Amino acid sequence: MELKTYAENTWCPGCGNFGILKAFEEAVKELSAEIPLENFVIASGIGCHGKIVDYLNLNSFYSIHGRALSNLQGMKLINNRLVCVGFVGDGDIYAEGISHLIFAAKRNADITAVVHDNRAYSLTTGQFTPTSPSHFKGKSTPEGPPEEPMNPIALMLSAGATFVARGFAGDVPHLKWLLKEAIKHKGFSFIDVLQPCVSFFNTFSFYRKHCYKLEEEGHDFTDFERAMEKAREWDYNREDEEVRIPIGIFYKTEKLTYEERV
Amino acid sequence: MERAVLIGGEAGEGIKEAANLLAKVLVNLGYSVFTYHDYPSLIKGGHNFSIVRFSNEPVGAPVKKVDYIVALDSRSLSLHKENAKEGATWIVDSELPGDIKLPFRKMAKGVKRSSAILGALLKAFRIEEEQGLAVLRELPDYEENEKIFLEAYRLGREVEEIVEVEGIKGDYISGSEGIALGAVDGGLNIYIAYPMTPASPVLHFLASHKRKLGIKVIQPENEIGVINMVLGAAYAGGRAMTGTSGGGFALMTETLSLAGMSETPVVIYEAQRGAPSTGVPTYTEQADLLFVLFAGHGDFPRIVLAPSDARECYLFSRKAMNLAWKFQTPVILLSSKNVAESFFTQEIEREKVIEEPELWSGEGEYRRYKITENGISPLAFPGTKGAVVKVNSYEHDELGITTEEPLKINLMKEKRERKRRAIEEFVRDDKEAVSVGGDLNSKRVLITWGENWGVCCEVGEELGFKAVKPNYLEPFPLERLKDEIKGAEETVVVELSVSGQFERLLKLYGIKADKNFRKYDTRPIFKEELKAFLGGRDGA
Ligand SMILES: Cc1ncc(C[n+]2csc(CCOP(=O)(O)OP(=O)(O)O)c2C)c(N)n1
Ligand code: SF4
Ligand SMILES: [Mg+2]
Repeated sequence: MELKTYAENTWCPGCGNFGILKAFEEAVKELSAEIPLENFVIASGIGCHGKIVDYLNLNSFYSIHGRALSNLQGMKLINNRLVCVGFVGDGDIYAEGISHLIFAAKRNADITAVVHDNRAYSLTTGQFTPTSPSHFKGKSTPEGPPEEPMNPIALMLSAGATFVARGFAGDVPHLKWLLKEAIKHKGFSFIDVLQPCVSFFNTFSFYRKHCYKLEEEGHDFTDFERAMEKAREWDYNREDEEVRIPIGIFYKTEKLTYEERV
Repeated sequence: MERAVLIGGEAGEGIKEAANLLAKVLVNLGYSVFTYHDYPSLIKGGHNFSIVRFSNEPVGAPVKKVDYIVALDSRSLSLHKENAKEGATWIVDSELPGDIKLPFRKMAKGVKRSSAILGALLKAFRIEEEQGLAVLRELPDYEENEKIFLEAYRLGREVEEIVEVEGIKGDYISGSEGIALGAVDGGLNIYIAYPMTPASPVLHFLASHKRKLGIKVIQPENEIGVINMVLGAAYAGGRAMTGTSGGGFALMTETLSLAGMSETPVVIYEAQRGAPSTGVPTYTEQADLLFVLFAGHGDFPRIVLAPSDARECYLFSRKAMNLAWKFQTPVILLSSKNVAESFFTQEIEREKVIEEPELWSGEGEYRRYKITENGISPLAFPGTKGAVVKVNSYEHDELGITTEEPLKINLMKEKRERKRRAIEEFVRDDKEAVSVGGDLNSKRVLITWGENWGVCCEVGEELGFKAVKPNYLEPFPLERLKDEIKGAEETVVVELSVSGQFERLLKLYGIKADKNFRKYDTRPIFKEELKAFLGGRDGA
């Protein structure tokens, strides 16, 4: 099965986006036993992350900055058989399109949001985003941003997302598993993917060192309070030696979807 | 035979409802009724009034001077002295001075007061009780309303007889209902909107009838979310529409350009209010015109249709839906408060007209942006076996993949430009592109658009002016318009804009008017005002 298009890949060599592309390709191949390929729709925002839709020979909606999840919610209301996956950026959806993210979670729209969280506006050459640490010396904040990073996992838990996870672009098999679980989940699925940007914020070795898997430590993802605790374990600002960064499924529950209720 | 009735009081005490109930009775008796509702942006208190104008000849414009005034409070007495014709009958709450007194405020609370007002008015017109009961039966709480109505009818006093007339048979319908029904009959699947006066009545109407109409109606988080959901729905093959006013439309403009670029069919209903900014929310203006025509970055085709009354709202809305899909581009229905919220008596011949857009044949590789002669690329929707449907906000190649190559960029821009020309051609051939009315043989011409049409036609007929209006504002039906004003000795532009936006648009197309009538106090043009301006006697 060939999922690639003829589009030339223009990501920087070594970019974390390659890991997300590979994990998703493999996930789709495996899921295609149950889901016909023509039912997949992928959408993306604008940024380095957005290019992923050009590289995949699947139905796609290459949207504008911050709005991809709204486009997907509209599609899903018309055709409930579509399997809708949004590839969005941290600038894209935690800043420009934050309202749509919160509301997609609040309504439990049956779509999947995959955030390429490189903690930088990369396509615009490296400004700080809502998840950049406060020492991030970007082009617009040479002294670091005068604000603290947000915690998207805690935010999504509060907003009512029914599937909340974090992945790491450097661990493709694990990310593939997460993507499959997210896509299969009925309701709003959210994955914050830690995606190193080799040009503006190379975090590969930091994540390799500090990430651990929730499922390996017996985390009960049906327990909301425990999920919240785990969400707070790392606040996106800490970079000390002791810090532990959980990846995997924080929380998962069943609720009626938006499409079912409309 | 023509009469007008003004009903005034506070918000929340059934002023608007009373006007609509009276109007429905009159329509059942064969009259043509035009109702103007005037209300400020508040929920309780303040001052609301409605003017019900009716005649055995068609009427479609607001008047200032009335024969009857129903006043529920002292404010109505002082405010509406200017509306009273000589010898007008004042029907007032018992606490106030007037010709006929009823204890309206004691008899009923809140919106039910409308039944009391109806009782007093039907008695004044010697219209049988049963006519009133027939319209009350459509209301919830019929029994209580019946009691109030009959009590007021008993306490009221006869003034003159309004008899049943041969003649106008039509529906009593607002512009908003026309928009909603037109969209439904044009195949609407989903209406997505954020509340904003004066577009909200369309949202409310569709929401309350959604199950029966078999459509979805949703209210997302903001207008940016709204318009992007509309695009998503259309991409998936659903006929989707939104409605808003100037501020909400402003928020949608980035995505308007996306609709143009991605060639996604969308219908946007823009009901103008007094502007700029929050402006005068419950009143009217035509000052979003140039914004709507030019909104969005970059070159892309759009269609802008401007209905003037409920019937046109219905027809243009249905047409908008079909044109959006025929040409795969945004269509904007540009209306204003006094089209949206006024009620007209017009025959609406409802009929589903859902034209199939050009669809992919299923042969070969699917190319969403296939280069074609007329610029229209056949549609396919996600979920179609054998088709990969890729749409893109970036400039793209035929498959929908991003490109920055000059040659490919030119190809795609020229494709969209050919589509724009195809739309121009379509409009050139559309017999409904321009309307004419008033005194058709006159060499004095009123050029107007949108909500001023009714008043221009009526005054034109009485004072000897031809009235002309473009129904499309983009593409502009220049040839037809020029034809209609050829040989005119005097042209007058009539519009609701202090800077004369419509006049400037005409100038852009080489049409220079001799005179203009501009109103911008955010109230509609009352018939007497235009008459006075054009040199006739006051009083309609
Ligand atoms: C409305 C709008 N504002 C600004 C931009 C410019 N812009 C393009 S990409 C981008 C940032 C992307 O950052 P992110 O979403 O984190 O994506 P990344 O490049 O890091 O993958 C911005 C601000 C735009 N395209 N549209
Ligand atoms: S700038 Fe960063 S995110 Fe963008 S392609 Fe290069 S490495 Fe990847
Ligand atoms: Mg980023």
